[in-house]
Amino acid sequence: MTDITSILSIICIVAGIFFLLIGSIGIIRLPDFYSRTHATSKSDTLGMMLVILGLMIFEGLTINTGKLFLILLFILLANPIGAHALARAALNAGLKPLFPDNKKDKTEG
Amino acid sequence: MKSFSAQSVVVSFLVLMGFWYLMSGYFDVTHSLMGILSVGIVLAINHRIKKHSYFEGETDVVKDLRFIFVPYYFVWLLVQIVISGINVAKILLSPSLPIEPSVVKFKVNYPNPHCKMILGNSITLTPGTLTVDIQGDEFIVHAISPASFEGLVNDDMPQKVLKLFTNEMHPVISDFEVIHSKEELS
Repeated sequence: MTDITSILSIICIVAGIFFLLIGSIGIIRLPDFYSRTHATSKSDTLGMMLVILGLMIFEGLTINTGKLFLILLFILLANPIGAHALARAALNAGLKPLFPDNKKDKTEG
Repeated sequence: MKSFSAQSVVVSFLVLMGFWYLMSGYFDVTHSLMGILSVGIVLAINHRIKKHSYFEGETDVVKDLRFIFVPYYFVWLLVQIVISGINVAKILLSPSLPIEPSVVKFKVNYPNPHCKMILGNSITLTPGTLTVDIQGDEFIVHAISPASFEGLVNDDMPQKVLKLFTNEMHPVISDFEVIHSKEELS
């Protein structure tokens, strides 16, 4: 039962889930809004890409592979635009990014 | 009003037809005729939107883009996404959390706005950098560590984007500055 396509797709999906998990860990560990946006949007892009790639390998050369490829394409287009919209709205609302020297000030004061 | 080219209509028709076949999965005559009818209706409705120009000096992206370089660019971008994804994963998983957030400002010199759109999206897609704002020719980019904006400092990614549109290579990035504190960010 274990042929090469199943093994490849399992590897891809597990790697994708790993990167999605990293994104979630990033939200908890990172200090401010902008760095958290990095974690949520970018690790997720890579994770989703790998999961969908795994599904595409599993599916083989059928019409569903094309549909999965379209989903991948739309995620690649929509993800950065969403992250950019969030970050831009935050900057326009006056939220300043956290810098290393500010953190030092906070611990000293 | 933009100039309305026959080439753009043909390209839209082919793309929509491909989308139709992908979604339906049937290739017989009846379904093809239904597809052609639907694509015709969509093109008729979109005709006025395609003619409308949203900002000054807007050009037709189909005419400007050099399609031979598009697959090459996407493969390169995918490799970059994987490399920087692993780097960010390393940063997030190390117990000391060695992040050094900084904001980078630079100006770009591009022949058309589509370049700026592609560069902005590429910057955001690569883990570790995030396009916060684009004002005219000025980009404001938030980076999680100094290693993540190396590809921007040495003009690597912007040159690749420029190559999609024109043969004449020239340095794209100017006035590069790194902001380390709140006071400098106005």
